[in-house]
Amino acid sequence: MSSQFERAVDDFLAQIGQSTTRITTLNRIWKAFMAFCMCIIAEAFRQKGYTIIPQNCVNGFLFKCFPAGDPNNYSYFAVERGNDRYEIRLNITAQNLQYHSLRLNLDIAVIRANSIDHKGIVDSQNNLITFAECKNFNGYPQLVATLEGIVYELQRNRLYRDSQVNFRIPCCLLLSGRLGSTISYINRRFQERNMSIRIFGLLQPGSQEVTNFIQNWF
Amino acid sequence: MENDLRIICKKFADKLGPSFIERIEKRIKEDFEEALERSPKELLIAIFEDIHLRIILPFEMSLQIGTYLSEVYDINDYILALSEKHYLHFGKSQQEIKRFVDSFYRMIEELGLEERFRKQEVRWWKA
Repeated sequence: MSSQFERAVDDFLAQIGQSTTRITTLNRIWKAFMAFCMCIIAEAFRQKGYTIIPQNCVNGFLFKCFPAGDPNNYSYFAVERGNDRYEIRLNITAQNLQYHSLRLNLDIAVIRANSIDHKGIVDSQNNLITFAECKNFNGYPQLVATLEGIVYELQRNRLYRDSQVNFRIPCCLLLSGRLGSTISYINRRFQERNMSIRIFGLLQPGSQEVTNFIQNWF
Repeated sequence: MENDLRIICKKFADKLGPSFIERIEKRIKEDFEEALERSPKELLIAIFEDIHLRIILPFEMSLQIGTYLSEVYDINDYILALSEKHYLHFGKSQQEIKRFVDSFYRMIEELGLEERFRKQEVRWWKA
């Protein structure tokens, strides 16, 4: 083994514990994946001709990477095209008010403009356009079951065959790691049934999968 | 050679602590010490895979977020709010993050694993 390799290892390890790479930060840095996904979602809309206007970012873009807190204290993207006016937000609480469903936190939500009520909740029946759950690891079947559970509570019609007719933009599970064969099979089944649910994997900086997502999500 | 790799694996375990070891054991479905004895190279690759996915990629994402916001929206600073009180001011730490990420890929190159952990810098917003 070369001493250059040992030196490279020592150099890498020596940086751990410094200001940006404190262990507490390293344990939570995966949340950058959520912010990254928010940006590629904004880009998907931009490349389809929507105008994107960042909001609440006078002192820089403040990503809300945790569920609590007033959404209006954080930055988001306003999205406009014709009569469509949406917002792309992080960590939003949604509830199907018609069916009194569970209140659930969504990693990323695309909602109608100005539709967050005074309690900080979005009515998923009327105002949730689509949403994404983000996981910074390899996929496993339980993640799909969790996504389907969220869909059942908030927009259960997405679970039916041909639901993409009514829900033009699929809700999705976004993974930085690999899908694996089982999840790939489930994803194909969603597509064959024209259900408005999709799973995307290997969403890593600069990967072809990011470009595929931006171009093919909806 | 194998003993040297064992020492390297131990260095990572010592630095990153028990929760890191537990995560690696879950990944390789084997006891850390047993894997260290049986095949230190496989163990070291598992360590790199974990660090790459959980630490390096998110840092690379944060670098790309900074470039994306700056080039497309002319926003030159950004912050990850991890709670109401814990903010990561990444916009101001770009150089430090870049150095950290580069040092990871230097290790990878020295061990000849570039094909497995490829650094990618394609600007997806230019596609």
